[in-house]
Amino acid sequence: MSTPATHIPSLRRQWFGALGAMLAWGMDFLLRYAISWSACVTLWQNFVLFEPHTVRLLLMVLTLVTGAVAASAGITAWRIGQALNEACGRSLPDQRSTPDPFARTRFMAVLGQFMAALFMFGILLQAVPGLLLPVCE
Amino acid sequence: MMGQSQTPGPSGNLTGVANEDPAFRSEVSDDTFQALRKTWEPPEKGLRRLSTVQNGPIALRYFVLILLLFLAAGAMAMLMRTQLIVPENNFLSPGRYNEMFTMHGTTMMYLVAVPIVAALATLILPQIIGTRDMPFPRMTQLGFWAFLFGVVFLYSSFFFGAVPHRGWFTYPPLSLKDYSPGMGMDFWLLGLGLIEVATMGGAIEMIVAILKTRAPGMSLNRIPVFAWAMLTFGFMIIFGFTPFLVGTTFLELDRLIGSQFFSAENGGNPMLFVHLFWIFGHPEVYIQFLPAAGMLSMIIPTMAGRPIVAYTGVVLSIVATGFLSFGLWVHHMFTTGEPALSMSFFTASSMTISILSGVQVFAWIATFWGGKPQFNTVALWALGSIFTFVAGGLTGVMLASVAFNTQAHDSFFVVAHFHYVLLGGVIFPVFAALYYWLPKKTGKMLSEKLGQWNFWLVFIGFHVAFFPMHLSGLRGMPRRTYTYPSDIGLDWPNFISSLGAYVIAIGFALFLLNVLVSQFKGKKAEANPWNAGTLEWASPMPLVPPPFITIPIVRSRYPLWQQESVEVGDEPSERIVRGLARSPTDYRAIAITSVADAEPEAAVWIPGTSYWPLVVAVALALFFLGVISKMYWLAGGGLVLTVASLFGWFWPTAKQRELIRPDGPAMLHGFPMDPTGTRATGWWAMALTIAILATALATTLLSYYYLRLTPLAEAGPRLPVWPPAGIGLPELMLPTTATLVLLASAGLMCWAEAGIRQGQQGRLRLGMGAAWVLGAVFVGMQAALCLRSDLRVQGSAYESIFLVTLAFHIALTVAGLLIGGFVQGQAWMGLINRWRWLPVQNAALFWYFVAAAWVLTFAVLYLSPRVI
Repeated sequence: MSTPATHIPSLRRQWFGALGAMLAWGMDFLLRYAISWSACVTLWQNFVLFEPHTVRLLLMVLTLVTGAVAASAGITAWRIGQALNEACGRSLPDQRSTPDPFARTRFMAVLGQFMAALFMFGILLQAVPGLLLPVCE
Repeated sequence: MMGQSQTPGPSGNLTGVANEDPAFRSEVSDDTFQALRKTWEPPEKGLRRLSTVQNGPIALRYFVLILLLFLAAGAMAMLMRTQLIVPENNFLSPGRYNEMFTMHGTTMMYLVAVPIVAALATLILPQIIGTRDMPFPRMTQLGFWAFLFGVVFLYSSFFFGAVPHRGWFTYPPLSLKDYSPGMGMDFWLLGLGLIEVATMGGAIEMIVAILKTRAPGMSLNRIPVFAWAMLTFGFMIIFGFTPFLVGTTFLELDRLIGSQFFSAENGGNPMLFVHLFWIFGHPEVYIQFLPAAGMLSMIIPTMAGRPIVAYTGVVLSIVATGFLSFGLWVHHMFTTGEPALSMSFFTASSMTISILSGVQVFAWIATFWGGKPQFNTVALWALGSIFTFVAGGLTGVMLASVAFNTQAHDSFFVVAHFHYVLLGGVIFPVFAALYYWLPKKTGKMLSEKLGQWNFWLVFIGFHVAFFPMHLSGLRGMPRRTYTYPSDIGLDWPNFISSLGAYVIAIGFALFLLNVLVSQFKGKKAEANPWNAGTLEWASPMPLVPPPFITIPIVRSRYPLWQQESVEVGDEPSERIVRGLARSPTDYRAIAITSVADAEPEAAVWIPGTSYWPLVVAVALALFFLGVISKMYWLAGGGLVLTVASLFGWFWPTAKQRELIRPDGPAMLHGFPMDPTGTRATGWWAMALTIAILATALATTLLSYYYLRLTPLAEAGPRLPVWPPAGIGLPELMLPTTATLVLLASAGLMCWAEAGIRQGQQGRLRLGMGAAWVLGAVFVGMQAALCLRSDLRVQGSAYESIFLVTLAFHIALTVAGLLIGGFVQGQAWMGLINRWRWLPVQNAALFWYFVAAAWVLTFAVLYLSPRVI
């Protein structure tokens, strides 16, 4: 069996797992608002790019891209957690006697999984109105 | 990770004993102990007190000032409620009523709710994270002075008969010179400008403290929830306050020099300000709420006698709420003509954020439920907060619906909602925190009996005052209106609300009485009066600096419950904490730890008492005073004095110079004293400063596109002419040349930085010198660009945004040159070498930012009009 240390991914991957979904939601939100605002409020509204059916298409593509980034962050976090479980077992050691040396990594992994669930839900919630509502009204 | 089964230590008592206990400083001799105390204690006599940088005395000053402001805001609320107690009352004139609600809102939102959490953090955060002091103590002092001078500015408007009267939001066009000709709005804008600068400085300090100065072993999964909340608070201030600062600067420029950002007839758009205000305004609510929620997450486990339930969920909730709060601003603008699709995104994020608040509320309830709660005053405030905040949250979900919001908008229903959220979610937790932590400062417990009277009067008075406002709002009573007609169903709700307000006032008066009485007759506080598990209770009671002679070593989330000792850890941790307990004794030093795992990385000097922050604050106040009174010589003098005093502030002290070694790295207990890059607190401070400036630049450039794409006066099927008719496209040759000059300068800076890493002093001096000269040439070219163009800032919105963006970048470049010159001075004095070159790294970082900012500015101002 390999040692737990060999299973620990880089800190950069851990940060991506923990915060990637949140950043994906942020990007989704900003671009979604920018697209709808450009199509409906600004003087760009008569451009081909901002016709209703292209706006719907753009929003759908945006959902897929940002949703995929959020999902990959969640999967990264889940895989980090799995790797630790395989290496160290699921049970958490009692910190008073032997502190878990991977407690912080585990914490970031769990955080990342919840973050991904929450922000994928957020991205989905923002996608629904684009399917139901008229684009500019 | 912490298991839920873990409960308070062996006897439920603190196991990491206080510093006063000889056992805790078993290896520290009395002489060393006294010498350390002497080095860390604040000056106690006369005017020397003005130079104190210690967090405890400064926090006390904040408390006193904020308490006075709270009383002032409360008095104004009483006047308003007296006016509204009966219909068609003439107690206040309409104009006076406008002034009262403006100053009440301004005081509570800007001068009480945010500063009080910052003050509590100033007092308690270093102890909570197990460090001796904040990493930039002079910044703590500057924050207080700038806040004080900002408050004096704002409130001096009463003496000049120019009280601000356009609400805490100051929307144009009402706030423009045409409709608000006096100086009231200028007092408001510049007073808050000073306070915002102070707040952002404080935010940088808190972020760096939490990321880099935590006790060894306090890895991310062990950070106390309050520290997570303050970390989020810091980032929110950086990214939230900056757009507001840009918006208020535009507004002041419109008023002061006649720029046209918000004048619809000249291509401006008042809606730009509304966006900038609410991009700040909605996060502002969470800037206040999250630290308060963090306080509850510290207090409730103590009151329940068990660790908080779902720590990870609570942390997630805090961080994600901070992030999501930037996606809610348009829900304050549902009636401004936004397209339905856009509004639906904001409804979605408003709904999502309520899930996160729910996570925290359930965690608090479960913690109480699963523990053995003590129902004292602190617990009552915490429970009252949960009850009231949940009620306010429910009406928040109602208001997130576009359909409901359109009906309830601008009515007293909204007033009821945000008072439920802000008093329930901020003021109640703050009072819980004051009862909980104030003994740490005073050494005296507050009276339980008076405390319970205080709570019940405020709690009952609050619901009596604000619940009827839901009804008066639904019956059509508008906000910000000084009276109402009788017999339309508003008489009784208003009468009851006013009675409730008086009861609240009596309740808060009891708190003051309690504080005063406890000072004379209060019970002496024990070392850990609440039997809490977090580190602040391992520091002396009452607090004396430094809070930790021996910095604690953390191996759990509740060290005082779950560790037998806070002195035992791995070798590097023990080496740094035991080493710092013995030396240095003649200057202040703290431990620097890594961001993720809090492993010891360095031991660094931090400054002691100093007058420089006071001088900087006075200089800034002179600058603002000069602007407000249009005495530009005074403003210029203030600016020069600010720069000069910053030089004095940052110039290495005699002790720092003494510590520099020419033949190797300065070391303390085996750890470097001059770290660079992400190990250095100074690097983080510079990176965060750049984040603020980058946000300001992004806001300015996005404002450019906003004005370009949504001119109110020129709607039509095609894009309007841009630049407006009569103004040619900006020239390209000179700015292109300037771009090349600046990029060359950045390249030279990079060469110089690489040189000093290898110890090549000559290369450093030559490279930085040449970079500086090219930078100066670049500024000359920018000045020529301004002078050669025919643009007038008063001409149109295009000209205003063009010239102001250019001026902003000139200011950045000049700042970069000043920093560069300052660092070169150090290099020539022999204060920079291959082991101490953080100043060069920071100067270079800033200069690269200046170059990147110019490339972006050039692309937007000069290239984009030719492309789109």
